[in-house]
This record gives sequence, structure tokens and C-alpha cells, in this order.
Amino acid sequence: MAKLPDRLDIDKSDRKLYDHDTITNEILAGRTRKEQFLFAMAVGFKNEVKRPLDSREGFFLAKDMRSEDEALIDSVAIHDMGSAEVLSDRKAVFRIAEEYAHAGIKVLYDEATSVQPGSFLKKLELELFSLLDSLNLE
Amino acid sequence: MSSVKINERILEGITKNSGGDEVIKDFLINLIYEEADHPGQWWWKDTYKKLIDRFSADWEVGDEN
Amino acid sequence: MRIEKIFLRNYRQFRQAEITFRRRHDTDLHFIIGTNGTGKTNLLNAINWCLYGDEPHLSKDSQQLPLLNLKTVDRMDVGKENEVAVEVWTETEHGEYITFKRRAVFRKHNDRKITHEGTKFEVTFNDEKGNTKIATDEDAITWVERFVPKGIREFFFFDGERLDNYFKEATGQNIRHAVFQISQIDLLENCVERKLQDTLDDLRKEAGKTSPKIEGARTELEQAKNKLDEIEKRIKECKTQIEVAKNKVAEFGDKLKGVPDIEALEEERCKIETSLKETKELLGAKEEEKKSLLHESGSILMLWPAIKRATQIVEEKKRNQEIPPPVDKRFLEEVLRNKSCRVCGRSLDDSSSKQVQELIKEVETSSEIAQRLVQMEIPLYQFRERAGKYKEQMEDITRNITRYEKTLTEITQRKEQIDSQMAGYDEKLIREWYRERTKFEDLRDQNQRQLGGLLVMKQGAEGAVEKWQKELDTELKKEEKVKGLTKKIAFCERAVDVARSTREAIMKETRERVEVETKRQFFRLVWKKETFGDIRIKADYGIDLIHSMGYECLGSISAGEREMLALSFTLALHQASGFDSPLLIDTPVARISDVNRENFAKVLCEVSTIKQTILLFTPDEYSEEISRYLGGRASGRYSLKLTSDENEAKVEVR
Repeated sequence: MAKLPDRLDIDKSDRKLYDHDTITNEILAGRTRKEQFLFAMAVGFKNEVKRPLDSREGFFLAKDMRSEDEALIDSVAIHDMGSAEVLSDRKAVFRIAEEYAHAGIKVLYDEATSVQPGSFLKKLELELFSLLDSLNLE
Repeated sequence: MSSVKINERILEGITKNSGGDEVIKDFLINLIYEEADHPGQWWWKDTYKKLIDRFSADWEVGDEN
Repeated sequence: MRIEKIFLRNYRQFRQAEITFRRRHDTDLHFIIGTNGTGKTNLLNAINWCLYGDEPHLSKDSQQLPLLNLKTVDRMDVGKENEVAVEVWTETEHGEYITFKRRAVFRKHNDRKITHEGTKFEVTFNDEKGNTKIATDEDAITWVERFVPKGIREFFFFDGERLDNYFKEATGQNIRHAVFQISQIDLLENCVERKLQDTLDDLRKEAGKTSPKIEGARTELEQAKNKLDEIEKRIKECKTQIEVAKNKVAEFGDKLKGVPDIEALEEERCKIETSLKETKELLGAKEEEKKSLLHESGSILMLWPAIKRATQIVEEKKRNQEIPPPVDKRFLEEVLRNKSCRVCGRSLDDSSSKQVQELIKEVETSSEIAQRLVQMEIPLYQFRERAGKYKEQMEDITRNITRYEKTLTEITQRKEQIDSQMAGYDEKLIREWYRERTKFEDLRDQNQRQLGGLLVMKQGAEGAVEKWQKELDTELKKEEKVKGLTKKIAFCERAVDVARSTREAIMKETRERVEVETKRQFFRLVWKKETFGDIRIKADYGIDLIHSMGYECLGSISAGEREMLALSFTLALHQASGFDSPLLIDTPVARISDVNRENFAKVLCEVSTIKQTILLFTPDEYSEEISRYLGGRASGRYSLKLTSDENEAKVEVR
């Protein structure tokens, strides 16, 4: 069996985005690296963008993920590949998550630097309400 | 006759408060004029006693109305 | 009583002058017109010098000059003496004359210096028999006090240009005392009551000597009366203290009118600060809660398509019984290890072992997937739950945040209101005012309690006096020898009662009449009738002028209004006192505008029908309005003119 990946990576260029004031003080204020990553991944997924990483560096350890966190990245992988078979390939699952996160953090950064301080969360709130209406939660 | 005018209200007041006792009224009016005619220090005791002797002789207790 | 004539010899500008004030018309009105420097005000000074020995209206220039006329000084030989004389001839209602004469002798020295060598003052009058008598020294002064008491002379010899001192010097107790003098209440009070009382005490002592019981009762009565006097004195002091405290409470109350209750506001501000802090904390917590919800539920909602797909796969696999996995991988591994089947017990040959290995491989893959899917089941269910609750939770948090924000706004607004109310106030000073007011309120209450006690004590003391009076009367009645004395004592007691009652009634009536008459005259004279609401004359004869808005405004009225008030008060004193000394006004309308001079003239004209009124005008004052009204009504009109060398003033009839 191939060695299981023990961490999830980000593109090296993304570090400064994750550390940007607006990201750290507002949008992802008080969140762990894992939570930041998963949120960026969700943003990338919602915006249907993912990008392969050019250069890698570790962001957080896989063992820090709880079952909910794994369920999220597994769901993303299943949706991306169209079948559950991808779940046997952890490397592939992680890669998909990383690519969505790589695109997502860029989207977040662009949003954060283009709006008034405090507006991103307000915008997110409105978008989620609108998303809620369009989703079929049953 | 006294050369000094006495405030009419005093004379009226004495008349009214005497309650009809003419002796008391006349006595006090006499005293007032004596005082007005003798401003400053003067030997008043004798005059007062004489007036008291004179008027009280004609006065009876209960002379007021 | 009126001034019939003033005679001046060598008094300042007046070498030899005589002014006679004969009454010719219905009005006893006289006026003298003179420019500044002709001696108009020195006429007023002359009267003051004659009666009181001083010259209160002397100009700065005149102060440098000797009393003795300069022309006379010039013509005097060195070593010689000359005299200054001023005589004021007055006429009583009965047509008799009382003359006030003052003479001062001056000597000229060879260095042209003038020295004062002595002054004589005397009053000439007729006694009851018609004999001419001369009073000097203290007796003469008493005659002056009967004519125009020094204490309130400015109400009779009225200087229109020196109003700043009005209501300052002649106020309160001075006025009261002087009013008593001119209305002769002092005759009743000091003289009749006091002297009668002394005589009464003498009679009682005399009666007491004849009988020890009488003496005993008399002594007890005296002690009881002394005690009553003492209590009455303390009651008076108490009442004064209460009055002072009440005035102070009112004074600080006025200062604090409209001023916020600083302590109460500070207390409220403290509470608001606490409430503000708490609300901010609550709001902060809710906002954090909202952020967390947005973050966590946001991720779920954004990933919902993936979550939904994964859920569908899990459910499908469950339905197909693909999960949990049908073959346990560990079971197969054990079979391979043991090389025997645990179900049937058969040993494994190579072919079977290979099959088992391939089976393990196959299961491995599908088992891992299935395992993952199984592990996903619960989280996926929880995601659905959380997604379902998101809207409700978010709405709830939003409601709370709105509520806290509203509360915060309200609290902040109230805090700003308080700050605004307190801004501009000296908090230390205001607290001081509150403290002072409380202090005087306590003093007032304390004195009122004390007064209550004293009034009870007074009742007791009066009872004791009555008791010993009765005792004494009883003893006196018993004693034959003192029957005569008893009668005299009773007579004196009755007379004292009548005198006392009369005094009290006149005091009250006089003050009330002064108040009513002052008000009446003032509101006739003054032009801004809506500005002023009331005038009050206090028990001590101090004057309060009340603005129509309710506050005391004597200190802030104009000079013209002050003159109106002073004149009104003077006329009221004259009328209420029942005493008809003349009224002399120097520069009467200097501060009154043209429009209102006619008003003034009308009032003075009316006054002069019942009282001699002498007016000293400058030519500017004697305007068309004045002359139109007064000219034809005056009994006497004079002019003052200086001679060409300006060292002598002449009086000419106009």
C-alpha cells in the first residue's frame, strides 16, 4: 500500500494570503489552519474553481482532522470524481481538497481586499441566505 | 397748645383701643403730647405721676365698653 | 409742617439770599432753576448743613473751597471774623414757626488762611403758653429729628443724581427706625410704654412695701415677666434665624433652578457605564457566535452539493447492503494465516490460498471505501441537521444582535444626554450649593422645632405671669391701705395695654400702607408696566422689587426706574407716616426720558396738593413737557444766577 499522506499542503504562494490582515482579523479570525483550509476549500468548491499547486508546503496535519472534517473533504472528492472509488486513494482526495483550497483562498483574498472592512461577512450572510433558498435541503 | 403735631393715626389708634374708656384715652393723649413737647431728656416722673393721680381718680375699673 | 423761608448769609455762593416759599395756589409747589455751578445743589447742602451740620451733596470743586463765601473772604480784614449762617424757617399746621439756625464763625489770618472758630446750632419755638423758647444741643437735635430725621433725610431731601446710594444707606433697620420716628410710633414705644411701665413698677414696689405678701407676689410677677421677656427675645431670634435660613434656602434654590441634580445624574451615568459595558460584551459574544455559525454552517452550505451526493451514495450502498462490507477482511487474513477455513475447517491448498489472497485484495479496496462511507454517515447526517437549523439559528442571533444594538443606542443616547446636561456646569460648585441649601434647610427646620418649643414655653410663662398678676391683684385688693395704689396700678396697666395695642396696630398698618402706596405710585410712574410684577416691603422695611417672571430684580433695574422706585417709596413713607414734612428734590428728572417726564410732572403736581414740594431743576431738565405741566401750577418760581465775578449767586423770582 502506498504511504498515506500525513498532511495537507497549500501552495507556497498562498501563505501570505492566509496571513493577510483582513483574512486573519475578519474573515477567518480565530480559526485554526485546518479550519481556514476547509473554508477556503468550500469557497473554491462553491465558485467551481480549483487549481493545481505549483509548489507545496505543509499547512496542517491530517491527524488533526476529525471525522466531520474528513467527511467534508471526502464529499468534495466524491463529487469531483463522480464516484466513491476515489476514497481509496487518500492522496487523490487530499489533492482535490488542496486544489479547491488553493483557488478558494485567492477568491477570498480578492473579496477581502475589494470590499469595505466588515462587509465580507455581511455579504457572505446574504449569499448564504440566498443559497439556502436555492438548495433543496430535503 | 402743643406746637408739635401728633400723627393722627396714633390719636385714632388710642381712641379705638381704649374701647370707649375716655379717661384712659385722655390720659394717654396727654402723655403723648407731653412727650412730643419735651423731646430729649426731661424729668418725666413727676409729670407722669401727677397725670396718673389726676386721671386715675376719675377712673373706675371696667370703664371701657 | 412746611418750609416757609430759607435764609443764607455767606454760605458758599450765597452772600445774602432769602427764598420764601409762600403757598399761593391749590398746590404747594415751588421750583428753582439754575445751571450747574449756580448753587442749586448747594441749596440742598445748605439745608443739610443747617439741620445736620454736614453737606452730603458737595461737589468735588466745592469740597476744595471754604464754607465762607469767597467774596466775603476777599473783603475781610486779616484777623477779623465773619460768620456763615443758614436759617430754615418752618411753619406748623397751627401756624406757628419753628426756626432752625446754624452759625459758624471763621477768622481770616494774614496768610489768607481761614480757620473755623466754632459753630452754634439752635432751634427757636413757642411753648404751650406762646412763649418763645430756644433749644440747643441735644434738645435742638431732637427738634430736627421731629422735623426730618437724619436717618431717612434722603427721602425728604432727594438728590436725583445720587441714586447709587439709595437703598444702600437708608435701608432695613434704619428705615424702620426712622419710620417709627416720623410716624411717632417711637413716642408710644419708647416713651409712653416704657415710662409708663417704669412708673407701674414703681407703684407696685410701693405697694409691695406695705405688705410682704404683696411684695412676694410682686417679686414673683417680676420674675415671671422677666422670664417671659427672655422667651419672647429668644422667639424673636428664632424667627430671625428662620427668616435668614428661608432666604438662604430660597437663594440657593434660585441658583439651582434649572441646574441638574449632579449627584443623581452621576449615579445614573455610573449605572449606564456598567450597562453599556455589559451590553457591549453581550453584543460582542453574539457577533462571535454569528461569525462561528457563518463559518461552520457556511462551509456546509457551500459544500452542500458534495454533501448531498455523498449522502446519496451512502444511502444507496446501505440499501444495497454494500455497507457495512459483507466480508470481513480480518477473517480472510486469519484464514490465510492459519491456512484453514474457520467456517468449514478445511485446510487451504495453494490454489485456495491464492484465491483467498485475491479475495483479500478485492475486499481491501472495497472495504476501505465502505469503511470511509460508514465513517461519513454520521457526519453527513449532522451536516444535514445543521444546515436545516442554520436559518433559524441565524435569525435568532440576528434578533439578539439587533436588540443589543438598539439597547446600546438608547444607553449611549441617554449617556450623551446626561453629559450634555452636565456640560458647562461647575460640578464642585453645584455640589457646594446643594450642601449649603441642605445646611440651611436643616437650620430652618431646627429653628422651627425650637420655635415650637419656645411657643409652648411662652404659653407657660404667660400663664405664670397671669397667675402672679392675679395673685398680686388679690393681695392688693385685700389690703385697705393700698386700695388707692391698686387703682393706680390697674389704671397704668390698662394704659400700657392700650398703648401697646395701638403701637402694634400702627406698625402693621404703616408697613402695609407703605407697601400699597409704593406699589401704586410706582406703577403709575414706571413706563415698562408689564416688566414688574410686585413690590414688597419686608418687616424690616427692606424693599423687594419682583419681576413679572417672579424673581427679585432691584439690583438690575435702570437708574430711571430706581429713581421711580425711590420716589414712590418716599411718597409712600410720607403718606403712610401721616407726617407732612416737605419734599425737596434736586435734579428730579435727569435720568428720566422726555416721554416720561410728563408722567413724573403729573405725579409731583398731585403730591404738591397735600405736601410742600420744592424742585431744583437745571434748565435742560425744565423741558417743555415739564414747564407745560408745572409752570402754571407752581406757587413760586425762582432762578439762580451767578454774578459776573462768579463768586456770588443771586436768587431771582421768575
